[in-house]
Amino acid sequence: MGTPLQNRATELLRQSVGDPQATFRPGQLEAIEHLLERRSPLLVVQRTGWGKSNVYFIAAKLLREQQAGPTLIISPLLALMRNQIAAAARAGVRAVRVTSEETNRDDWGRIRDDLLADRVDVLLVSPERLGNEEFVRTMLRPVAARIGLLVVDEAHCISDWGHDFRPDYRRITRILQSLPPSVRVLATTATANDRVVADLQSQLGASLTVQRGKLARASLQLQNISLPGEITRLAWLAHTLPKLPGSGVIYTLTIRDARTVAAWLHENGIDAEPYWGGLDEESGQPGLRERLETRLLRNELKALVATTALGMGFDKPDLAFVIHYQLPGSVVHYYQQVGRAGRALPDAFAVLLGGGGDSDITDHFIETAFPSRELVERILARLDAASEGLTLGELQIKLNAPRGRLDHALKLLSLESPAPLLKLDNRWKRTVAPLAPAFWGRVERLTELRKREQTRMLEYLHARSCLMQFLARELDEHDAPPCGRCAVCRGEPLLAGQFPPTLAERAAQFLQRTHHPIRPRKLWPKDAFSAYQFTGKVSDSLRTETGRVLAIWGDAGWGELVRAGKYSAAARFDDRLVAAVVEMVREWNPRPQPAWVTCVPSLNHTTLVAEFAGRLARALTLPFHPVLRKVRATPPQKEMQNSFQQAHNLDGVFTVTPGVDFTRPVLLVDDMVDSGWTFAVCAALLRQAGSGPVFPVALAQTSKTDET
Amino acid sequence: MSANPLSPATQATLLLCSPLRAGRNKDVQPLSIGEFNELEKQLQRAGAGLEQLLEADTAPLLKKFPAAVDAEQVTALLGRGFMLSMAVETWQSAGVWVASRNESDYPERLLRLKQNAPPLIYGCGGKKLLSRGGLAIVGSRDVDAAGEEFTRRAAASAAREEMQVVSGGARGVDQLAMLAALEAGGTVVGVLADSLLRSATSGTAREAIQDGRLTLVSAFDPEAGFNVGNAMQRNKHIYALADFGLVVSSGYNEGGTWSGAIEQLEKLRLTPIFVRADDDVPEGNRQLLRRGALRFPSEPWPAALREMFAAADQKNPPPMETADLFALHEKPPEYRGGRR
Ligand SMILES: [Zn+2]
Repeated sequence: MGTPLQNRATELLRQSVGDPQATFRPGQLEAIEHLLERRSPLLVVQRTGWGKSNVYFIAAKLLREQQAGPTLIISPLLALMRNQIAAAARAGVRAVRVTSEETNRDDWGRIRDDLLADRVDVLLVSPERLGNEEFVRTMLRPVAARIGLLVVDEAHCISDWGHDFRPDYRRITRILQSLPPSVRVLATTATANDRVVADLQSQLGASLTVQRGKLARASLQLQNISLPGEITRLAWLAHTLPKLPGSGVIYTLTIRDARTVAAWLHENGIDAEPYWGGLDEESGQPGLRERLETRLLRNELKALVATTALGMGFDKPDLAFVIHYQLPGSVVHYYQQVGRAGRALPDAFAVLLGGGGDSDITDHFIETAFPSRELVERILARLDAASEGLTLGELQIKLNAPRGRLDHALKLLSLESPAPLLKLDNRWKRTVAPLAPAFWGRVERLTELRKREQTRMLEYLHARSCLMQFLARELDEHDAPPCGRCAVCRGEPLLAGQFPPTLAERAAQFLQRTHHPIRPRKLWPKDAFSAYQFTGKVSDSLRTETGRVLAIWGDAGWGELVRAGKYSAAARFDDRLVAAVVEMVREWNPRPQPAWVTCVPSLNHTTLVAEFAGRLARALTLPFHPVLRKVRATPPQKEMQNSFQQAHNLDGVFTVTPGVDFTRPVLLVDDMVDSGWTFAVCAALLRQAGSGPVFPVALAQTSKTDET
Repeated sequence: MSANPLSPATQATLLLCSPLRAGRNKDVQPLSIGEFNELEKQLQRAGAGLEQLLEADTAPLLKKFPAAVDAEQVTALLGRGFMLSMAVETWQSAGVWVASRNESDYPERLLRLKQNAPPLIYGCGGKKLLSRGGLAIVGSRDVDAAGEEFTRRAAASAAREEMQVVSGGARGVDQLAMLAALEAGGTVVGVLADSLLRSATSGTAREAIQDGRLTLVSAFDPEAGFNVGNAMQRNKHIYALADFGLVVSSGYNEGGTWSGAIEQLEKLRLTPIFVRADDDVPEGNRQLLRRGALRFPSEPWPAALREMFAAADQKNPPPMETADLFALHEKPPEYRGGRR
């Protein structure tokens, strides 16, 4: 028999897991006792699946039983905590999470009422939320006055030496540093090497107690396979997946890859679905992510093809395999992503596909992680000159910078302390503080660190010694023996790297058939179309239908051929592209069916697009009527950096002359699509002049790499 | 935790006396100055300091205190630790500092207010200016054109003679005085009754603060909105941070300028009060002269304003211990008392 505290804690654990015999894992009870009985902050470094949530939910409940205030948990991984919250509820813990995707404004009201009435034991929020004025004012305020325990998940982000950089943790670190001792603190992470732990100690004070467990690895079988290029990897996946037992995860670096891989596997009769952070919104199906997770948990899917949005907190003890379609950014990320495979299985596969140009994508992530000096200087200069500050929209107009970049830069700068700028009532204002030169020092250091991590990842791919040992050492577990299970220890591949050549041919064809939707623009940018007088919502009667683009600029599929057509001396798109678009339109089958073809006019290359559109029309046996005219030369759209500039650049540029067939549905052809404003404007003019529905068609999308 | 930017006593004072970001709480009322003074007195009697209030269990300590200290309210206020750290983080990031009455970085001149010294002072800009004293120029918002011109000239003259201008940041006389002094190359202390955060980020103020020529302070939450009571309190702080007061225009028996000046003349007596006394000054100015204020000479002024002050000051013996008029830029030794 233990102390009354231990007994009560065990009782709560048993209620929560629904097992009257359950006992704590090593370290869990010690952590709970520390939080209840000692005041010093605690850092728990324990592998995924160890059961951190048991610690903080039970500690929260015990504190409530001692009349303390509620617990606040700050975690970027809330979306995946459903199961843990349900388990806590069985032990009588009333936990509420506020995430942007799932909590609508009605829920806010209800949650706020519960908070005010002290009916909430645990409030879970994302780090970003703490920076949101409205959330802090309306939701956090009622509990902030009584918080008894503060839990910070993914605590390695507090350190600049961690493998993740999350800007919002800058704020969290400062909040932790100015906490009076009356608030208990628990910081948790699954992965922190010695350097990160030492850094956390210096950031959070010498009184920080550290509890550190061993890494998980018992059933993992690691193997790396060099397969240069998309075609071979797709072929290998289609060949190998049906032979693997159970269900698993395929990680890709970008959303586009997740979609492509899932579609390819589907075509090969494999039950795979794409999964990424914004899936619910983009698919228009609320709760889709959750449903996909559930199907994977029940082994109803062979695989989820996911970006890192499917992250920690996703707990599936019988996950049979984790395959990486590309090299992740660091060995620690890799360890974390494979570390959740097969905890309850005797064998689980962790396969890394690599070789070829994977680094391009991680390079891009590294390069865009921080704003350029030039952008920062321009932002500060603009704000210096504006005595009452500027809104994001005003800055965008003045700077001709992409909204995403601008937003990102403003956020990073506002998280400095002292910050050179801050947001007051939706206006960005300069503060009295200069931007500390240390900011750029940090940027350089972090960029260097990311590059070193990338190099280590490549070294792992080609490692000639035990792969598990390599991973363990990277996390400062230096006494790990060779695992005896990985492909290197065994001296032979666990899974063959081969596939039938016909499969590769089919994969190549598949890539050429991968079309992408062109979505209609929904809102005219403010003041961008003073000549056309387009304002507010793009009305249904003027809007384009959803269109199709054949390829991504420069991609392995048709992208190269499009590039060749555009920049060759002949200035003519290959006939194969005509055939490909015909095939695309046939598959797409737009309704109501287009009855004629027109194209976006150009003054620079007067014939390139029109000539192609004419050939396309003939191949589709439709009439071609070039009814749009460009009346004024403009700088190229690709030089326009944000939505306002892209749109404004087109104001008053086109005119329409209606003719035969005009009132029937039409295919509107252009070679490139970037922001989609050219299509939006041309379509609106066509519709205004009385045309039928407008279906945009483009050869290539000049998109930036989309983020995960 | 060791990295904490605030001392334990300042943390405790903030927990007790600050709304911790104004304008958004209906929960628990912070202590008034009077209540805070009482609590400090009781702590002293119990041989304890404010920092003890941060310890895990304050109940035994609070139980010892008489009913004048509301233990329940104090406990609730002290429980706001997380709120405190959120607020401190916000202020720090915006370049706003905070000092509490029991710490060495608290402006010494404010301690002249003794029990009326605000428990907390927030600020933006260098603290050095707060010990430089200078000329407080005050007046009502609706000053006439002659008053406006007078304000500008007086502030600019002071600035040229390296006398700092202290003022309240309100529209009218306050802002005119501050702007004129800055334009003439002088230093200025702005003592605000509200919206420190907003004022510190507006164009003119921001540049002057960056140059080290302006410091804004306020005894009220950096996000507090306008409140008559706070504006009245603020008048004390203006005079306490200056060596001389100059009233440009005052209502009679009404308005903050009047009551602030009367309070100085008849109660606090921290600084000699001069009044603009030309022919067509408001009734309030004339009445202040009858209540003991000093006549500010008519223009043209003598070459050195400082000597003029000294002269006027000698002709009209001040009602309290004199400042050393030839050491305006040093802390007058008489003012150093008052620290607990
Ligand atoms: Zn091995």
